[in-house]
Amino acid sequence: VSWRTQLLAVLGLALLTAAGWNNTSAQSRGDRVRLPQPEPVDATPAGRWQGVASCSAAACHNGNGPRGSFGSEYTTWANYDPHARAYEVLFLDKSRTIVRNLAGRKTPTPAHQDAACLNCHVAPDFANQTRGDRFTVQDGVGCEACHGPAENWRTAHYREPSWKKLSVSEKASRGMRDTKSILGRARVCVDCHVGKPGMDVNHDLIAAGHPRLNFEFAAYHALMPHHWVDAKDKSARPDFEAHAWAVGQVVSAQAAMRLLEHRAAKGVWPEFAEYDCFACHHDLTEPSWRQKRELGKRKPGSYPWGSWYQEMVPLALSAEGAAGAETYQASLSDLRQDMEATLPDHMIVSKKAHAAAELLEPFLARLSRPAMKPLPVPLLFRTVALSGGQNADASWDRAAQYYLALAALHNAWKDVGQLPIPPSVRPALRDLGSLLTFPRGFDSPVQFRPEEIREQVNRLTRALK
Amino acid sequence: MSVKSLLFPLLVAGILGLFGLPVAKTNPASAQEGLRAPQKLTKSYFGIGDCRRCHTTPEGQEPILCRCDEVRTWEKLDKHKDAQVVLLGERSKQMAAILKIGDIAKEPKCVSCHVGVDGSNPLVTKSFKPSEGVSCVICHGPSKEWVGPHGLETERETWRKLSRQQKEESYGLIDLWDPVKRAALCASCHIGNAGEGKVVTHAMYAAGHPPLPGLEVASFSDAMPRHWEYLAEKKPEVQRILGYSPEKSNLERTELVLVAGLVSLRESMNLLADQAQEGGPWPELAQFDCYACHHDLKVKSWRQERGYAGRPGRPNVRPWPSVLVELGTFEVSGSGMTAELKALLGELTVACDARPFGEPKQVAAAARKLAGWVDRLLPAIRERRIDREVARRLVHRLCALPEEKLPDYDSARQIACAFRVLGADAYPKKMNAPGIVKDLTAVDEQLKLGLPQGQVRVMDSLSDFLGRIGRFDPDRFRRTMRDLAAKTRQLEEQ
Repeated sequence: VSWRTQLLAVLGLALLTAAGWNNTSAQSRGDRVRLPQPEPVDATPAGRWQGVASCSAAACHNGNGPRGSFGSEYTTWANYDPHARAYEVLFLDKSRTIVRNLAGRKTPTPAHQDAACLNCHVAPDFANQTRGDRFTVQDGVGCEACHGPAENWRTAHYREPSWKKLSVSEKASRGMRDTKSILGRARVCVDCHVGKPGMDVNHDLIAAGHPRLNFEFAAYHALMPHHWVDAKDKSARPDFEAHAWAVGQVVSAQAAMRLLEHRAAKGVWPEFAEYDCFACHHDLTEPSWRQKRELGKRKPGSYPWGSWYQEMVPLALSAEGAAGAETYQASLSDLRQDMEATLPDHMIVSKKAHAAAELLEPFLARLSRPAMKPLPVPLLFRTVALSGGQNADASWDRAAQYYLALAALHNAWKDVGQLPIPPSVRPALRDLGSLLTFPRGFDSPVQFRPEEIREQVNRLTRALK
Repeated sequence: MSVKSLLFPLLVAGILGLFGLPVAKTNPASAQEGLRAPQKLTKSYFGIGDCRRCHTTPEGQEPILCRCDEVRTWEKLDKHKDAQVVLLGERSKQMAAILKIGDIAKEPKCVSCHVGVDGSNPLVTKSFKPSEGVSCVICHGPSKEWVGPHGLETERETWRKLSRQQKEESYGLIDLWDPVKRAALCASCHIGNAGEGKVVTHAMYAAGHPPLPGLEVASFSDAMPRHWEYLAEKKPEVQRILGYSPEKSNLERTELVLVAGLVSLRESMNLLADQAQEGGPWPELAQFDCYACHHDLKVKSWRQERGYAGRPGRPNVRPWPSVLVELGTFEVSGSGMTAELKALLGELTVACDARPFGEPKQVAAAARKLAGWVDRLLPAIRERRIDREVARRLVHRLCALPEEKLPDYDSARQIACAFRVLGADAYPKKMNAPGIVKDLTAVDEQLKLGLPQGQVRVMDSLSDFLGRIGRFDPDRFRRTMRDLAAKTRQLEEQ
């Protein structure tokens, strides 16, 4: 089993196909309700959207070369990248079920016409963006969704000799987003994949049928069909995957905190999507391993918070040698207490989430400066692996994040080539991944057993001694 | 009546006297004239030892008014007898550790249902033993005034002439012949009653308390098993004494299903309102539909495909108590989901949907309204004559319910339990037709309608029970009920 397949299996990424596509634009126009209208979306850079067609000239990005080759960025995206089908999926039966469920007894607005869907499935702030003639929603999440609306840089970026010398912020002022740095990439992804005001996959939407978002940057980055030259990333820094993991953790955590800040202040409250899905979503069983575990400070029957986006962050911060891991850990514990009350005080939570998000800012600011030291990857792998002894077995979320971290660090270890990787590491990781894969037909870890996770953690620990 | 059976109560009186048991003091004169109602009721809890002598006749003994083997049935088969013993078991130890309760056998929150009264209560007499669990006195009434008169040879004849109401009001013998009272009594533990301190919280469930299954009083009574006979089952001379006439009286089980269905809704709404009202422990997650959250997520989700009554993702209250009330509205008005019921249930859904876990004030108000609605509907049901025609109409209505709304496991169990009871009344002796037996076996396989009895421990059957909830396929259930509808109609044509 390749890493790629295994990561996919763990993340349960539905590779979206165009199957079931059909046109429903001729639906009756009755008493239509829109989904609750999304909040205004913040910070879409200025400039008209030009459309994918403005990038896909054969001489530019549609070279029709092999996947990932230079000059074939469009070709790679169009042929391999699920982002290109992001709009099409709005026509699937599943999407129809979602809008029907959300509309209740009224006639729903079709998903492909609803701004709440289009904000992620085509472009952020879809209702307010201005579009050129060649823009079409059919392209789904196209070039500009990540690279920025191209009106003010499209010609310049290949014509102006000085373009390449412009700084990131100079380019940004013309509408082009930074996708060269890991930090820039992670920030692009989290808008949709973690969410932000106006682009929020909350529990209402999930219950209606939308898949849960469980974004882990390093894995998603590794899995996405690259339309850029991979080798460039890794020749610049061989510890690329480890770095991507750490940066992705922090950027995602900050996005999740900002989203929580917003949800608590203005959204549906309590917002169940903040919690560990599988703490509630499991068949009741007898005997129950859940009743046998230590609850710590958590009250019986309460639900655990922050298991996906937050638990690894202190480790990621330490990995990058950033100060403040303890402070952040303390703020997490504090916020957790509030969040695990049956009815958390939304204003207190919002304030604390804001403060926690701010705590991560200095670290991210430092990252945007170049020339950071390479990461001590083998040591980092060991630290993360041994941390599993604490609570990697607490839940599927925890175990999956633990696994994804080690998968990224393992890849980085291979890349940096320092010290041999003990031979039993890989099989232990592979077995851990298999334990985390949902059984066929299920969207939840039906067979999750903490003792089985513990066994693999112990195996890793032994391998690294 | 045999000489033996006449002698029996005399013997009992002697024994009761010997033990100094709570025989109400009546002077010798009044014994000759009959009974004089006591001035006031003395609340007192006594043990089953006081009942055993009369209510455990040797096997083969000719019954008098009662079967006289009530205690034997109860001791041999009824789980209520183990109610306190389970508090000393492994699961209770686990729960105590998780909930940080010192002595679970003395914890009022547990004892309130598992015994009914705390052993240290001053009203408890020497004969009362908490280890006897939910015993006679808990359901029949903790008053010493009725104990003597109902069995003493000298007072018995007069006692029998008293109305059920008099027996309850003046002597404290709870009128369990009244289906409303009986259902409410069962519901006080099996659904919960905040005023009586009988509440299973979500924390208790999380610590390991088995889920309370949806209550259907007629079926639950049969599953106890019953230590009493329905009036229809008694001998003609006893029926005469108790004022029962096969021609004029109601089909008791059908009536019980109708009435208890409504009472279950009322009691669950009262509990909900008590918890949601200001100062209540809100949100109490145990009030919500357990399986709305507690299910493995499946790639093909019947819940998402079915859609939701309100907003997706917002837990609603447990659905089963509102299922059988449609039989009541149907019988009274000819329509199951009447506009009024629809509006009231809609109001509750809106209150629960206003935000996750609902807006408590709105929830409490909507719940109180529903409870009040039940109270207004009950007298109309009680006035009706419930005969075989009614039972048949209700069977048809019941079979149509899954067609109108795909039921969850608990709701399906309500429907299936009611079907078995109503079917037996509607088509006496015909429910063993092979086609019907086959469908009922299929239903039982899907839902497990029986309850643990005798030596079977609740905890031992829990895994099987929970497994069925997880595997429940509402569409399959609907098809089975559709088939049963067709088969029962065939019975009528035969």
